[in-house]
Amino acid sequence: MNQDTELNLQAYLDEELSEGEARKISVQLKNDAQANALIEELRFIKVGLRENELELKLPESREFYWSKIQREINRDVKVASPRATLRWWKPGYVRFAGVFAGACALLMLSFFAFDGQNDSRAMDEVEGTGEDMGSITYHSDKENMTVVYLFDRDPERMIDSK
Amino acid sequence: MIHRRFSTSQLLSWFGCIVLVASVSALKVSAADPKLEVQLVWGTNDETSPDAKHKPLEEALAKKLGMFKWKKYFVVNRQEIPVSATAQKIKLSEKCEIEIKNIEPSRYEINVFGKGKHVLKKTGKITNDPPFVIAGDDKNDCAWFILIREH
Amino acid sequence: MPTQPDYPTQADELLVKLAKKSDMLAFEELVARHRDKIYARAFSMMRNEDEALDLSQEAWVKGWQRLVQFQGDSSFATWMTRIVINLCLDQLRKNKRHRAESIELMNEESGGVERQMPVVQVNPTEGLERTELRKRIDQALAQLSHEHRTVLILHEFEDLEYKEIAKRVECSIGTVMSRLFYARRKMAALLAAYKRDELT
Repeated sequence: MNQDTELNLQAYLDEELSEGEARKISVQLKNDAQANALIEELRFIKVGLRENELELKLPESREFYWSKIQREINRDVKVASPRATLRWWKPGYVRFAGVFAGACALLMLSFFAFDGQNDSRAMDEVEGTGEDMGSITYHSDKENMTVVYLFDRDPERMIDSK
Repeated sequence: MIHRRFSTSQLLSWFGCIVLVASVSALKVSAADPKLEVQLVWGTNDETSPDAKHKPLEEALAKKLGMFKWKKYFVVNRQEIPVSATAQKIKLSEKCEIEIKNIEPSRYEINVFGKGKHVLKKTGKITNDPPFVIAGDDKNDCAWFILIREH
Repeated sequence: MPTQPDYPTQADELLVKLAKKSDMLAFEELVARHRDKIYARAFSMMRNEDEALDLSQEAWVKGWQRLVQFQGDSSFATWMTRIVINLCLDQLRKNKRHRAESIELMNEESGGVERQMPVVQVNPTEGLERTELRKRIDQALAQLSHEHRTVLILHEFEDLEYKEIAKRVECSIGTVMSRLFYARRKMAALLAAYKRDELT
């Protein structure tokens, strides 16, 4: 059997031949034991693979995996979104300005009303990183644990544990 | 007749004062100097660490790090330190230092330095369980972790 | 106040619709649902956990960016799989520049040793439990070159036609056919060898 014949037999198995070509192969298979044996081997692998792909689980927790995706999405959003031209005279913006002014007034009132009240949680979770490093903070519900993961904005540089 | 220098009541009063002062001092010390355990840990998929001094991380903590892909965790450095309102710098490795300051009961300010550069400031509550974790990528697709918990 | 949908119980179609309106929680649910499958496809092609993780993540980011292009002609999982396959193919091309030329590849292009391999007639996977069989098949797949494994994966697992595979892999249909032929024969030989090793 030459290589072309072998590849045609494979194409026959994979239903890649035209009707005429497929009919020729079908006739050949009636009398050719070697061709039949080869097709059976190819079919065995074809079916075996399709029915038995190994199932794999991703080796990271849902939260951690998602946090990295989310970080990249947000980074791309910041880069991609153009600065909107602020047309301040548009009615929507005027309405917004009014609401904003009202909120500021309420906030100032609250400072006067609650002056002296010391909210000890005001500084909670404040983070700052050097300009070379970014960080993502996420909370694992399963372990009830907070993790701050640092990443280098320049991947060539790295803190290491040694 | 035996003359005593001090009466019984005077002695008792002095004793009471000493006990009072000692108690107040002890309170002040225990309130001002909570102890934190800080561990620098190396996360890897290698079975052993190239440094024989690195012991495997305790199982309970390693289990908490199960959210990550690394299968083995080794303690590179472990220190228990009293932390006061004055910032204290702790060297965890040649390239990694942290500075910790106690702000309020169970609230701390932590600054992390990598190769002398400030990389993170974090303020918040730290308890005994679970630990607070700071992490980052290490070479050869490993990772480093700093686990901090109240002792 | 509109109530938030219960994401875990929603069908993919609704989640996609919500995600198109920038509902990131809906997209996160889609990621959670299909992450294993996308990662598994990346791993089967790259055979490297870290590359598979990176490429699967990149695929999800691209999926978010291109969501408006998804019209529902295929399932969402199939659409995402195509994205990760394309990323893997790009990475394999980049890696190839740094890799030594595969001897298997040279053999195949000159009509090599697989033509001389005897046809495997005894079922080499007979008697194996499903889990063991899957592991063995995966073990054999790992032994193929990237080029042969890619063609096999795209044909057997992704059900692509020769023409489609040729387009994605950027080679001729003839090359797809000979790589597929070699890969199948090699798999049969490897599985038979594992069986023989087991018996001796």
